[in-house]
Amino acid sequence: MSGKTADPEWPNWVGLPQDVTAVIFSKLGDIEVMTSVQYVCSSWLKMCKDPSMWRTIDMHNLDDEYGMDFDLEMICRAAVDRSNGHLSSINIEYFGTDELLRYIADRYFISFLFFSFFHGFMNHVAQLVIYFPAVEMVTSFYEMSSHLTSLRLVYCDDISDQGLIDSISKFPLLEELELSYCSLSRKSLEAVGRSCPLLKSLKLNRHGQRDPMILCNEEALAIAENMHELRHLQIFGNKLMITGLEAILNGCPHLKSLDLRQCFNIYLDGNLKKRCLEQIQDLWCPDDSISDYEFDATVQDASDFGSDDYDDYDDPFGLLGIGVMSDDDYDIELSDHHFDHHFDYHFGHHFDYGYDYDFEYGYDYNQDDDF
Amino acid sequence: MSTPSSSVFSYRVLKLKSSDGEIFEVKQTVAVQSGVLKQMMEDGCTEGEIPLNNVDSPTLAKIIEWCNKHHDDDVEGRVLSQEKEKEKEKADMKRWESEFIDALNRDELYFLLIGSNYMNIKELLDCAAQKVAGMVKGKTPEAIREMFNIQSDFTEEEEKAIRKENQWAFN
Repeated sequence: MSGKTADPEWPNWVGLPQDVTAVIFSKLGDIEVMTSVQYVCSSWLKMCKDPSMWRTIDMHNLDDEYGMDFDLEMICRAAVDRSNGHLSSINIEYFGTDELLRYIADRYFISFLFFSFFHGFMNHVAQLVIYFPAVEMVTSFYEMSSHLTSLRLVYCDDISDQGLIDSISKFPLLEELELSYCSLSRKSLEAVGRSCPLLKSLKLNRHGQRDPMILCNEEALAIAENMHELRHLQIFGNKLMITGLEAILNGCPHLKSLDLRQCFNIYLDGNLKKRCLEQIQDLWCPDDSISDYEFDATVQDASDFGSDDYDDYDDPFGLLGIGVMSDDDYDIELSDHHFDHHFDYHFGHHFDYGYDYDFEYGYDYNQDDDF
Repeated sequence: MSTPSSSVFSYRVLKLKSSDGEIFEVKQTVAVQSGVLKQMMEDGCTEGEIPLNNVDSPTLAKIIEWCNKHHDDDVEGRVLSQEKEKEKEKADMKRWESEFIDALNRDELYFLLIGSNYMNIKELLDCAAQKVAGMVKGKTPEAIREMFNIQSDFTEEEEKAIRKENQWAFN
């Protein structure tokens, strides 16, 4: 081993089996690996430059203050470069941007183009193959861009719908996707459904909220209509209603696990609960324990903020303007409303802060509304 | 096998021999947590003493303590019906694990990493690696070298070149 220990009696940490060192590095996260650990000795640097070490990139922040001292996007790009086109899984928390996502996507796309032109050229010239090279290009697209099977974006407010839509089409073999606590709309989910036919697992978590009561099936319907191969779905804190849940059960027949914790608009009982239990092996109900949940699961109720603060209340999904109703309206709205056309919602509004005011208005929005 | 004609799996005992020649007796149901021993049991080659040349007796004692504790947890876990009890049990186990790992000094931790990797006990390896990661977290390369008694083998030029190549790390 290249690192020498001063005292021969002392255990030689550099001499640990490489598998063990790799486990330790993976626990640390790649930010620490790139900013500190790799500079310890030449043996560790060599290990950290090996493409096999970067099939999985995990840019989680163990310590927020530590990460602040570095240009995380630059580090992530360097890690992607080191993977040398063999990246299969990447996790980005807090700092993801459209540009970074495009960079990751284009790393594949460039190698795909290069490969397919070269491959097609060789076939044409050397073998005078008559078939249309596009066929070959499609095959090599899957070969060259197929490695990314898992993408995890958490708290990436700087990623826009357009950014995600542009990039996701270059990950056609994606099987696992997490888009938790991001500001993305239904359009993104539709694009994911179109671009990733093999998607098996989706996590789309939000902060749970009881007050004001917001009802919105948009995401549920986008999932139900576009992701028929899903096996695992986690929609912690989603605003879906019973109709949305039914759409998911119908649209995703292979679903094995479903996490509905803090989806407070849903009350599971009777036939619906029976159906869920029959169809789903692992089911988490809205009020189930959150003790094993990895993020802060504090319920963000408006009443906790006070009415003055309410205007400034963080509404990353722009849902506050969509549909808010009182408990009294609930049954009526569910029973006869316009759920058959999901772009034509009409909700009553009711803000209940314990004050003596109460307003209701109808709200229609159409497909062009960017919410 | 010392156990008399018993066909009950859990009563059967493996004899593990540490690198310094000490013999440890371990129930098969406990030993199954080790990927290596599990494979040997499946292959039917666990008669007599099983030499573990990479694991000394203090480390093997620690590893067996860990496996015994986790084995007990599994058995109890199955009878617990209440969700809350299960959670409490889980939390207790987490506390036990962190106390177990925290009580080790740096050398013991090192040998436990090697031993758990050699015997292929993933949970223990993960737990020990997590501890080391916690020790390294937030430290500069110099501090890490000092902690593990590693000497830098970069030349000054090499170090300069690396720093130039990766400018994010030194602002």
